[in-house]
Amino acid sequence: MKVLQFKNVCLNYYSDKGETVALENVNFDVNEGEFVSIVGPSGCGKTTILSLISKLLTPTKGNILLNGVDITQINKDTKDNFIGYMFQKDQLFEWRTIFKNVTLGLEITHQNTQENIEYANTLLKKYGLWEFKDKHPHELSGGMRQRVALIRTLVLHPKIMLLDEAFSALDFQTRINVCDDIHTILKQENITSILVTHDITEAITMSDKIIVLSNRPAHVKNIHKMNFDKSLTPLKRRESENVSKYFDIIWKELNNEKQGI
Amino acid sequence: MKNKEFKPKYSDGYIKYIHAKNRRKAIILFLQIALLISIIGVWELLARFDVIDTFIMSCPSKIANRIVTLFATGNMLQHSLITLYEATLGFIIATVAGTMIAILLWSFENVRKVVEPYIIVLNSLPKIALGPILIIWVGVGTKAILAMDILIMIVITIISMLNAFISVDKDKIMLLKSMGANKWQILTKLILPHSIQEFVSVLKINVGLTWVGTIMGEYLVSKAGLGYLIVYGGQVFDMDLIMSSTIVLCILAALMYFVVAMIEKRILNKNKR
Repeated sequence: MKVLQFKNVCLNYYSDKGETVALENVNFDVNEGEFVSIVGPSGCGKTTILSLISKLLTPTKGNILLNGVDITQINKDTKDNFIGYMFQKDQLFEWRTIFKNVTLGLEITHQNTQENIEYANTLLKKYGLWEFKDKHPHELSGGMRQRVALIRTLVLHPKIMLLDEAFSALDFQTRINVCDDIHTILKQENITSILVTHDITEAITMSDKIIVLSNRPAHVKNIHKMNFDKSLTPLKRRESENVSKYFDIIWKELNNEKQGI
Repeated sequence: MKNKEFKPKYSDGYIKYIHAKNRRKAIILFLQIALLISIIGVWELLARFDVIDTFIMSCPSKIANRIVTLFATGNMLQHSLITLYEATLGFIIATVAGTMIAILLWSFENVRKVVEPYIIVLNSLPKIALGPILIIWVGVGTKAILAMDILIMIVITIISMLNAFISVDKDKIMLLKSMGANKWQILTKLILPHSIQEFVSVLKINVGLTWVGTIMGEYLVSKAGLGYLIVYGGQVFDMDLIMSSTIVLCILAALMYFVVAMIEKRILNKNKR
């Protein structure tokens, strides 16, 4: 089932310097439970796509459909269509305990019912953070903090999870472990996810599908389906021969784009 | 069987390090006290041996006597309480009003852009220059003193708090927006708690400025208070009175700073980062 559809989406920016065409006829679909990565040259408009999905921007032309309904027609306050967002930094509130960070969204949306609090507790237990629930973020490691950031979003039952360079602030070893963790959690909870990244290997090992964007104004240059055993985690996928094969193809595409070929 | 108490074992090197650290602390405290006693002692000796003129320089024993006499007659207490009342009230009004204005300016970006240049000009203006205007507008007496005091603190409070509000990470705001937060929720869940450290800094700045404002106000218009005593002492060339009032002022300012430091400790403990 198609959860998200981009249909000829265009976006123009206006500033003192004039008008910039950021996206031009962007078309792609995302199916339920799918993990999709978006890669492309720097500044091509990858994060712009996430801003459009989370309704922080409105398309100049074209339609974005969420479960078949135009996103502009969906009331922002509708709790059933929550779009989760994970940033480069975990953006935890340092003055709140881990539990208070996790339940932040429930407070904002006035959903802190017994049932939802129980769900938050279940997620904290399930993903090894229960003992830390009364600690403050500075007492946790980088990987644990990212897990807290993810659970903070999961308690709101997101329809789609957007990950904007969500792992790039971590050191290499932590990053690989966190990718593994987050991927496992998202798959277990069957959350449709879209990752924006510069790291091709990360995209290959985490995704079911990779969307390659062109230079600005961005359009979809290619869409690659990843052929891995579904039971493999990103860390295990790194051992597969397919990784280098996909890497070569996507690397060449991005390089050609950089050179304007 | 008797429960054995847990005693952590430390290495000799660590014990030596702790001892050296404590010794250094004690030496610094001793030197601080010794410096004060030496200054007072030398001053007293110079006065006793007529090296300095006590009419112009006064001396510690005369100042101490004067403070005791003034407190015994109730004069010093009355003047101190008046100044303390003005300084405390001005401090509270300026801090609360300045923070409220900063919240309004954060909430309405266009208003902020309109008033920003005026705030900058007001900040660089020596507030004492507005003294005569304040006297004409609010009259002489406590009102004018409070107005001067508030004027000195409010602009810096607005600027500091506003800077703290707008320095909040944009992604944190975006996170709350993605959850559907409204402006009030962004303010109460993020902006205010994020700015608590800056608020404590403002409290510490204002606790110093409020005495400047109050004394300046009392110089201009008052008929009572420590500022009045100092001005009066100057007019009648009573150096002991000037020095006594200044010392009481120092003690009151230090006490107020101590109270604010206690508040800071409580606030920061509550908002562990």
